[in-house]
Amino acid sequence: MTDERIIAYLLDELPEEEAEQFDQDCFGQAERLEQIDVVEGELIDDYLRNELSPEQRAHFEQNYLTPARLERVLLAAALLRHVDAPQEEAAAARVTELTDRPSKIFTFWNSRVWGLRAAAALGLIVVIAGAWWLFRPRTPTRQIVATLTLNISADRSRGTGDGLASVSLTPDVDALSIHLRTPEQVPTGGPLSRVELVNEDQVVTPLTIEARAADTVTVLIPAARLTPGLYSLRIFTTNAEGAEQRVSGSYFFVVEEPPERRR
Amino acid sequence: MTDSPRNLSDLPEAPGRESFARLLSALSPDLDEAGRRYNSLHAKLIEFLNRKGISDPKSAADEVLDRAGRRISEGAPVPNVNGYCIGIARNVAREILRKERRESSALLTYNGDFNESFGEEVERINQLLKPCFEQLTPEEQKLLRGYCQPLQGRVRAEHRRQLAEEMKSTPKALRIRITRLRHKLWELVRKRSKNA
Repeated sequence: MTDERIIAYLLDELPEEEAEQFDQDCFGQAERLEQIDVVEGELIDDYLRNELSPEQRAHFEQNYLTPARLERVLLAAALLRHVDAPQEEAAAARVTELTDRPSKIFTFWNSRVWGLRAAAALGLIVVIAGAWWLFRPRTPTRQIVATLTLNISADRSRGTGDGLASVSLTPDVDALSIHLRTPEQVPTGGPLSRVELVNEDQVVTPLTIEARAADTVTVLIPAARLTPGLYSLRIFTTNAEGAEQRVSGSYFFVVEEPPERRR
Repeated sequence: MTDSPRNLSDLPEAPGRESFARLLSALSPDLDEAGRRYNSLHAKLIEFLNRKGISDPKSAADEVLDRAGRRISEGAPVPNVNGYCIGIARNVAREILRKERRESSALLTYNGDFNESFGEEVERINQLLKPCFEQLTPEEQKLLRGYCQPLQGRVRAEHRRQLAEEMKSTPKALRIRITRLRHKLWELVRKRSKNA
């Protein structure tokens, strides 16, 4: 009994005879019923996260949803809201390294006054040290993670290197965590299919999406991959038809030589 | 479940006692054994109809057995009572769901935008859920948070595989554990909702 078959059963996509057989096979079988329960829970999450295909989504709404099942969907939605909430708060709180006044930073980076941005950003070095507990088996290990928050820019802005965020990764830093503020054309909390890192040589590296909050997506890049130079990040989303499309613009940042090497 | 009846007169609320008696006979010639099988069948039908998304699976199960008893007493050949009841249950479920969907204003007015249609209700439940979530153990909370991260595709699969590894478990066992945790949380929320 595969997940796909169970999903097809729940969405009423199985032919009548197969559905009858499915019912017969599962009747009173506790282990199979639990397996259905597991898949059902994840199907509901996928629906709420907008990860079903358009056809599955339609079948979910037309065939799966009943007044009794709606209760389960509402409970699941509440749990996802609860789980997502701390991430949104943490993402908003993390952009404090440049200044003590984070609201001014948001205003600054969103401004179109290039002179101001260039003047303030030129020569700006972000040195961030933070401790961040990550999941580890048995003995949790401690990683030093630098953080950066970026807004999307039009591609033409990368020409001069002005107005770019920069970061210097000291040898003790294990990874760089980058929070990308998603632009308006990406629906709040909408699905992102992937994020790519591009270096100066146009080498593209796919990145793992570590977290997705309402208006940010977080990626984690091992410091070992970030030699000094100019980088850009680009994000991809899926449209209503399920086709992948790149979000216009890129996120630029510069990795600078660590202070010790520059002496 | 009720105790197995010793005599026909002990049988609980049986509308159409004759059809009920015929049903029991079809289950087993021995009345004690028939009673046990009846109770077992009744419980399985409740589970089955609950799975189908019926709001009142117990009443629906009663209806199924009532129909089965009537048809047996009318002379329908039934070599396999369980299988026969599953067929009736499928039809009963279809009828009931058609009716429930027609009568549910929530579903009739739902336009596919979940947040728009149910955002307030979700928030109300979320407020009930928060203290219930705190009642879970720290490990259980961490597990649910980790498992329900908004990740996708291969990234999500890898993340969950690592989570299972950290929990010294397998991905399959982790999925089951998460499902059971969710049910535990839902029960806490339902109890809190009743007491609110």
